[in-house]
Amino acid sequence: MFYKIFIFESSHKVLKADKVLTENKIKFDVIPTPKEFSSDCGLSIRIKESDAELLKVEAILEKNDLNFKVHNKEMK
Amino acid sequence: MIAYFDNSTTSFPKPQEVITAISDLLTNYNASPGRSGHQFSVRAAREVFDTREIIAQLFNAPSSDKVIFAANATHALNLAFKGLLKKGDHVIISKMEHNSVLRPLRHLEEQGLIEISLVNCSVEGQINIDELKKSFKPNTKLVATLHGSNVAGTLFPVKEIGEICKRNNVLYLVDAAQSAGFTPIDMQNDNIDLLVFTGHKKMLGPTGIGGLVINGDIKINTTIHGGTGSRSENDLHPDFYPDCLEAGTINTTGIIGLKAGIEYLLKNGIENLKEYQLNLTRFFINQLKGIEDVILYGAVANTDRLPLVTMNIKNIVPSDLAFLLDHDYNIMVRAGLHCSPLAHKTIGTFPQGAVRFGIGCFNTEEEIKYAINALKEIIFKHK
Repeated sequence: MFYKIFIFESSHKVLKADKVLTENKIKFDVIPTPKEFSSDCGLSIRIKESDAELLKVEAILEKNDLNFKVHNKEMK
Repeated sequence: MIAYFDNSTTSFPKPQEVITAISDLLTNYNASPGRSGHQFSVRAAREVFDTREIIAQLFNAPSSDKVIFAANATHALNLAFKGLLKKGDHVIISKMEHNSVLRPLRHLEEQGLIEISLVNCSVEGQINIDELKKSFKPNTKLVATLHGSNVAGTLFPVKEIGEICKRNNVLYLVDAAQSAGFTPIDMQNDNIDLLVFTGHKKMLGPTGIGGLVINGDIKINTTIHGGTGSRSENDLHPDFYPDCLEAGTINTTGIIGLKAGIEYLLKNGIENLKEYQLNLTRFFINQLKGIEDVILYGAVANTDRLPLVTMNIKNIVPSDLAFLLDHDYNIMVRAGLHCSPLAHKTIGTFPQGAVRFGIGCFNTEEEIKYAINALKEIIFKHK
């Protein structure tokens, strides 16, 4: 399965993303940041690449002043 | 009857919701918040995040990432003073301040780093605003005052002081140890740059949790460095809030209890609970006024004030009175200087101090009547 991994500046920002995405009924997981990605924070958010709502996610994060980087990752 | 009147020191009892929330954490998901990424860790982290959000909302702070958790108000004040002040800075405080403000500043003064000006206060414990206005110097960096006096029960006009500080381009720190959770606080409207609170008094949480809330872009250098769960590959401590001021595993138990305490306040209405406590305070003061040999101190009963009563009985040492109340009547109060020698000098009760009844939202009129009768009996026996 292919995922988009969203990486943030701090744990506080991940948790804010967690809150606003939940409020917007987006399906996602909070995961430990995969080792291959450089991050300031031990937690990241992953969303299925095939998810139709993926496009909405970036808009929601930007609207809430959350800076992020997106990476691709295959996870079983 | 058992009557607990030491709520200005630590509030008791706590709402059942606080006990339930802490018990739920310790029973069901007590992991390190945000450190490990598994479901318990994430759940704990969400609770901590929600608590920062609710605190930012409670004090109308612009950003929840600048809600910094500390062990208590003293710890938070130390973080602020030692992380903010530099050599040559001048600080203005009042003569009602608690040792938690006075001692860290005196320490910095003793090291030759800062100078301090103390603004006089009235015998009722109210700050002299004209003198405050005249205390500013070119190197004044900070004004630090309490919001509510733990000794006199006065509430300082923080909005007015905040405006004066803003006009002088000086930061304003408010020590809200006594007032947070008792009376509404609006950091943005009142020009409060730094707000210090503790969880175990009027916010109805457990001991061991407090914090510092920062309004806007203010750099506070950390005096504690260590693990944060963020930027772990780097030797240097992170520079972003809240991590930069929080090293080591934070007090999740305290934070979750505090959150439940704040939710209790919001559910019941801070203004409603305030009015209830002030009605009891005014009733108590009015009854005491009718008793010969009772000496009352501090704020006038009908002003906007804290729910505490500071008093003495003629010819009885305060510590003896407190012991008699506890031993003979199961009435718990606090006697002495309340960690505030400056304030007791201001109201004229230094060095013997006074007896303080701290009224909380779970005290009742029956308890007040019981205390009044106990005081009358003690006075009668000492005649």
